[in-house]
Formats: sequence, C-alpha cells, structure tokens
Amino acid sequence: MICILSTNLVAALMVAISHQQTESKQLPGTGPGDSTALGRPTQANKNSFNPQISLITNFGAVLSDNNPSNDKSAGLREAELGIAADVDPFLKAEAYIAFATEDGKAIAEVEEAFGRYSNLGRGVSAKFGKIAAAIGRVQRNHADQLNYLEYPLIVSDFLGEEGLRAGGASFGYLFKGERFNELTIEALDASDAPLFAGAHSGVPVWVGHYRTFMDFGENASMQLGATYANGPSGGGGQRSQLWAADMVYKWTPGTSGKSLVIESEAYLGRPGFPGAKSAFGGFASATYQLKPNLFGYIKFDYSEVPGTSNKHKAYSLGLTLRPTEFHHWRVEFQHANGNFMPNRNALSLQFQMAIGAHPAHKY
Amino acid sequence: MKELTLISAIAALAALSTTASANLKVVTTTSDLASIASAIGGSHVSASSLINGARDPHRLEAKPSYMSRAASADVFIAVGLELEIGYEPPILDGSGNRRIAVGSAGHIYASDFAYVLEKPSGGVTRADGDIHPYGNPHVWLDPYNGRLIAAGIAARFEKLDKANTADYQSNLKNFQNRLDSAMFGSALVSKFGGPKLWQWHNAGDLRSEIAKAGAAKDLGGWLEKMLPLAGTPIVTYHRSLSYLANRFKFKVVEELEPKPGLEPTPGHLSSVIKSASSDGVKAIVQESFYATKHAQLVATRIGAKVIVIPQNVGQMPGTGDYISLFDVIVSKLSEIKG
Repeated sequence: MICILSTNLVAALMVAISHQQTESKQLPGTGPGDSTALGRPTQANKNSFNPQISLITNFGAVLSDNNPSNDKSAGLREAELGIAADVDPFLKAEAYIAFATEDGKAIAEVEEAFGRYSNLGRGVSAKFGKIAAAIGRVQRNHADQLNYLEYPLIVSDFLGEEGLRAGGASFGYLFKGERFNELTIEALDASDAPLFAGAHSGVPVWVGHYRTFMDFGENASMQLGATYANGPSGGGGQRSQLWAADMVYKWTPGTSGKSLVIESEAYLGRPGFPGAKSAFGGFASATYQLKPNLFGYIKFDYSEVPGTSNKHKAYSLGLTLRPTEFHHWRVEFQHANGNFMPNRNALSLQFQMAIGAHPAHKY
Repeated sequence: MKELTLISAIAALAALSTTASANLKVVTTTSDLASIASAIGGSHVSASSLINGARDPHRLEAKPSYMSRAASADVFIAVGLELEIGYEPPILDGSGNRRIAVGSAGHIYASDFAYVLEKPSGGVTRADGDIHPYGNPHVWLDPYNGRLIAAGIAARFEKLDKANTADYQSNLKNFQNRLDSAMFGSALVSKFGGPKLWQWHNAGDLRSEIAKAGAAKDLGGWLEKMLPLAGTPIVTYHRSLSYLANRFKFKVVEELEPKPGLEPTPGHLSSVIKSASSDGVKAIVQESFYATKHAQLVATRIGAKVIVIPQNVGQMPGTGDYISLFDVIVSKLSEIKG
C-alpha cells in the first residue's frame, strides 16, 4: 500500500528518497524447455526496509475584503509529512505529521498515526492509534486530497478545523458479495471536536458508518454513506449525537479527458448540554474536468454552529490546474455570509506539491 | 456494427468470468491478463479484469467495487513494474484478502515472468516524468512475453490447484501453439516448433535459418505481415509500444508526450514535427484512449497517417482475446505501408 503523506517543510528530507533498482531479465532465448521456464521475480524485493515517505506542501495567498482571522494573507499553509511501512507480516503503520504556522508560532501536529490490520480474515480489518473518524466521507480525506480549497463548513463547525482525528480503535467489516458494503465501528477520544467538546470523561465517542457502492457500467459510479455518532459532551454526563449522510457520484469515461464528480454531505447534530438546539449543515459540490489538466468546480456550504444560534453560508467557484498528479495550482473565489459575521468576498490562490511516495488513486 | 462487435467481445470476456464450476477465481488488473488466465485455466478458472474497454491502465481509481471483487479472489494478477502503483495497493488492502497479498501464492506480477525493456541504468526522479523505475511496464505488447506470462500463470495455477495440473499444462501448450502459429504461420510452426522459432527470432537469425532449411516461403502470420515495416520510423503518443517495436523491428523516433505522463505541449509538438519530418516518419501510432488531436496536428504537418491501435483486449472491435488483440494491432499497423 502506498500511503500518501502530505507535507513539506523539510524539503531536504526528500532528497534522500530514491528508488532501489532490481535486476531485470534480458530478452531471453528460448529452448525446448521454455514453456515452463519462469521468469525470476524482479519485484518481490524491490522495497527496502525503509518506510515510504512523502511530503506535501501547501502554500496559499488570499485577497479579501474582510479577513475575519489573523491568518497571513500569503505563505505556507501546511506541510504534511507522511510515513508508511509494513511493521511485520500482520501490521502496517502510517503516520501523518503536519507542520504549520499558527499565531506566529511554528507548530507540528500528529494528524494521524496508527497501526492497521488489513487482513484479519472474514472481512474484518482494524486500526489502532490516532485516526480520522469515519464520519461522512470528505472529512476523512487529508486537506491535500480535497477537490476544492478548504474543508466544507460543516467539518470545521461540527468536528474541528480539519475534521475529527482522535485516538481510539476502528473496526471495519467488508460484507461478502460482489457489491461493496462496509460497516465501520469506532471508539474514539473525541474531546477536541466541537460537538463533543470537553468530553474528558473517559467514555468514548462511538461512531458507526455504513457505506455502499454502485457501478453504473464502466464509466459511472456512486457511493452512499450514513453515519451515527454518540458521545459525551461537557463534564456533566450529557451526550451529543450526530447523524450524517454522504454521497459521491463520479463519471469518468476513459477516452475523452473529461470527468465529473458530484459530492454532497449533510450533518444533523444534537449537542448534549441542556437547552441546546439541534444544528444542521451540509454542502454540495460539482467538479468538472474541462481539459485533461484543468478542473472547474462550484461548491455551496451551509452550516449552523452547534450549541449556538450562529449560521453561515458560502458560495465557492474555482479552477484547478493540475499539470501532473504531483502538483497543482488552484484559484478560488468565495462569497460567505452569516448572522454572526459580515459578508466576505475572498480570492484565494493555492499552490500544492508532493514529493516522495506515489499518491494512491483513492476513490 | 462496430459497437455491437465490441459489446459481443466484452460479453464473451464476461462469460469467461462466470464459469460456475471454476476452482479458482482470478481477478486481474488488465483485460489481457484475464484473457491469458482464462486460456490457461479453462473450465477450472473464472477470470475477470478490473479494467475494461478503452481506459488508460495508468490512471485507474481504486473503486470500492474493485475491493469487493478482490475480496473473494483466489488469485490476483497485476502487470507490475508500478503500472498499477496508484490503485493496486489500496485495492489489495481494502479487500482484506490474505490469499492475494503481495508475496503470497495468490498474487502474481505478470512482468516477473517477462523480459523487461528500458530499465533505467541510473537514478530516476520525477523530473523524468511519470517514469517507471523498474522498467517499461507494457510488457504484454510483445507476444513473446505473453507466452512467458502464460507459462508463469500456468505454473501458479498448478501450485494452487494440483489436481488439474494436466489440464493447465495442456491448455498452456494449446495457447502457446495458437500464439506461435499466429506469429509465424502454422506451416513454419509444424516444421520447427514454436520454441525454436522464437529462439531464432530473438537471436535475429530466423530468416536466415528458415532460408537455410528451404522454408522461407512458409513464413506467415503476424511476422510476415510486419516484415515490410522493419526499420520504419514512427511516432507514438506514450512510451508504450517499445515491446511491439522491439519484436517487429520498427523504430519509435519520438513520443508526443514531452515526458511520460505529460500532456503534449506546443513546443514539444513543434520539435516532434521537425525531427519526424527529417526522419521520414510515415505514421503516428497511438492507443485508442488518447485524444487524436495532437497526432492529427503532427500528421498533417509531415504528411503522415494517424493509426489508432488497441493496447488491451476489448478496446476495439475484434479484440476479444489476447491473440485477436495482435490480429487487430498487426492489421492496423499494416496500414502504414498500405
């Protein structure tokens, strides 16, 4: 498995990444016995014991008529270092460490670090460590894997700025059969998530996610998912609940250099503390491949901030130029408004590059 | 009509994958490998491919449905040499299937059985484009490699299903005999046997050896049709026809991609036009899943033809299996001189 790690910061680190080469066969002659003469494996030992490393660096700049944050208008947004390797025949390890600047200080944060048993048998897999919670679909992706500039508003409002990454255990079950159906059950210390804020009770947040996948011929497919999460919030024994639905549809004909991706998710949160109203939010986006290397997208966001009467919306329109799968330029215009903020128009530019391990073509 | 033929070919391939009494369920990445596996496995194997139709095998996404299909597979066959690096690892991991984990008996890299061209002699970086550091992965585009891959797959089937060893050996012999006859003509194969002919051809001695034996007139098959193309300079879109060129001795002088995986640029196309013109290139040959506008541009400027060929089984009408894939490729390439 190839883990893609994003990061950057230490570009020099990647200089050391090189491909070990193995001897290949020359054009062989054939003799009477050639029908059973097998080639000597050329790839079985291609990987050394060194882990696969990748570094994804994300630079950004923004022009805004109303910048609500103290963020720099331009600079390094984040660098993510990813490391992955087999631990032994049973276990694989992955770690993602993000470097960023926050309030003028350099910070490093372990976004994920876990061990994964992918072959426990009978369709069961397991992860232990700090993991991305199986809530919806888009928040499980790292920021560099998004089709747009930033996570949808619901992610930051309900789960945290870059989604819910928390310590715990995750168990997956892949149902038998030709159609993909998967159930994931997790127990997490999610005390950093806004919806489960302050939940240092020693009681885990339970997350259940189910997803099913459908092919419509060779060129089109859709994945549907549903999430339920229940966990403590505050210190008084209250419990918050979250319901979520996620959908992605893809049309990817093989010959035209065109494609279409439609994504949508909706969250309904019920904060546990007394008197709190339910909060609803969602987003919908469409990304169209205009040319082999050029993608245009639109996105609409709406979110009610859990535990408050605040709500806001955002309309985004963007273009992504992706000369190769290893770097891209993105420009996005966003109009945002809400009942707790002035209207904001922003024009953002993103430059992202990846070095190291080849990125996985995730669905 | 062409569409109907293509649908029939795909349906025939799909039918191969639904043999009810199969002992081994085989999932492959490309359709060529499924075709070879079906030919070797016969009724003991059901084989299907993840990639069907006109689709670039470099750029597949790891769809969850692929994981479900791999979850129940006894054997998983990929080309290897990092052709599938973007999607094979997540498919295998997501399948949770120990039988097909890399290194297990149920996992095969077909290129392990093949000879490999264009293995970089020094270090490689992504400044070289989306290069494959272990060599050019398009190994199946030399029928000789198809022969070697078939033997490797047969050996693995025998290991996993010993009871049917005789059938796998018999199917392998039949497959190789059909392939040899298609390559050299059945008259020549019946006189010398396939292995000897391949040996001579690999050494560059085939024509002199058969002439010495007074059998020059018996040469037939793909080789006879491709003889007039020996030494012919062509331009390709991607560096994917090296094995085909190596076997049939035509010369790839340029690629439309400035570097592997990169879209053609105006500057590079201008350079290609100059060099192709001075080299006397008569054809731009490319796979069916690439847009032809760049090839048309170059062809118009230098007075060459654009020849679109299938790279994999099922990509064009008449390419229902591995051998008919070459029938179509040879037929298309013959148009260069036509």
